[in-house]
Amino acid sequence: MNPGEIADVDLIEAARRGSEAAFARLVDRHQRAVRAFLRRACGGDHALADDLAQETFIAAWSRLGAWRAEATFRSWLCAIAWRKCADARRGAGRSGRRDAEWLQAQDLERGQGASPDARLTVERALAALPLEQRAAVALCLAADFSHAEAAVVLGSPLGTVKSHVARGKARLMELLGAEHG
Amino acid sequence: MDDATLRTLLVEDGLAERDPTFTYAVMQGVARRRLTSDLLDLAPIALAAAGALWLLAPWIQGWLQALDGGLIMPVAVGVIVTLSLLAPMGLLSLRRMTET
Repeated sequence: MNPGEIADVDLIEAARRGSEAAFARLVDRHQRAVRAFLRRACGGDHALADDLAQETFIAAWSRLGAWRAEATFRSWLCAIAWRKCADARRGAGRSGRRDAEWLQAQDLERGQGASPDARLTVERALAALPLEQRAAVALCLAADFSHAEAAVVLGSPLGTVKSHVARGKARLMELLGAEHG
Repeated sequence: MDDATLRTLLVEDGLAERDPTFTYAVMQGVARRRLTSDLLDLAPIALAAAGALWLLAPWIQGWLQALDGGLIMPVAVGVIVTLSLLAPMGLLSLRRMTET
């Protein structure tokens, strides 16, 4: 946070009292982190990720009273986003998703259809990971969350998150290693 | 590939630090939710007011008939309708003032 900028906790207090301007500043401040997390967790489906990010902030507005200062506002938002993402993926149908993920992984391993753009390549590699691993990697490796913070966000035991991150990282290195030599 | 390269690849998200279009869309959603919540808050008051008017209708009618018939009736109806329309807005404004 820059010097002179209003702290999250003060903006949250103002938003709880009904200030939409304060909430808009919170949205401005945290939209990138939430959208980036959802884009990675949704396996590169940007339209779905942005819809879920909007729903996340609207749900956060309604539940501002439930936020407690022991969690950062960003991790609280990511926890809401994660529940929305998990619900959406469950609703999308397990078999179709498994097929799509398998096909993407096959393409990547064969080097077919991989975009020359590094970001797209990473998104495709992330999409090849199971949902929980993807979310853990998105938080701990891409967004600098600690394992403990990620465990709170994902509602999983700490050991499970560590294992997801380690396995996800190994798989990504395997997939991206082929791409990046 | 080493850890640092992987992290560099993962951190790149292609998103702007601030996206006014996204914020605007969120705030529109917030405004819609707030309107729904305001309407739900006002519904019991509107129902209570309608019930009170229905209970008081015979008394009000008798009182209006006791007065001069000419313009009194349309004026009274106009006042009641205007007050019914203004009361919710007044209640909402009062609530906003007490919130901030």
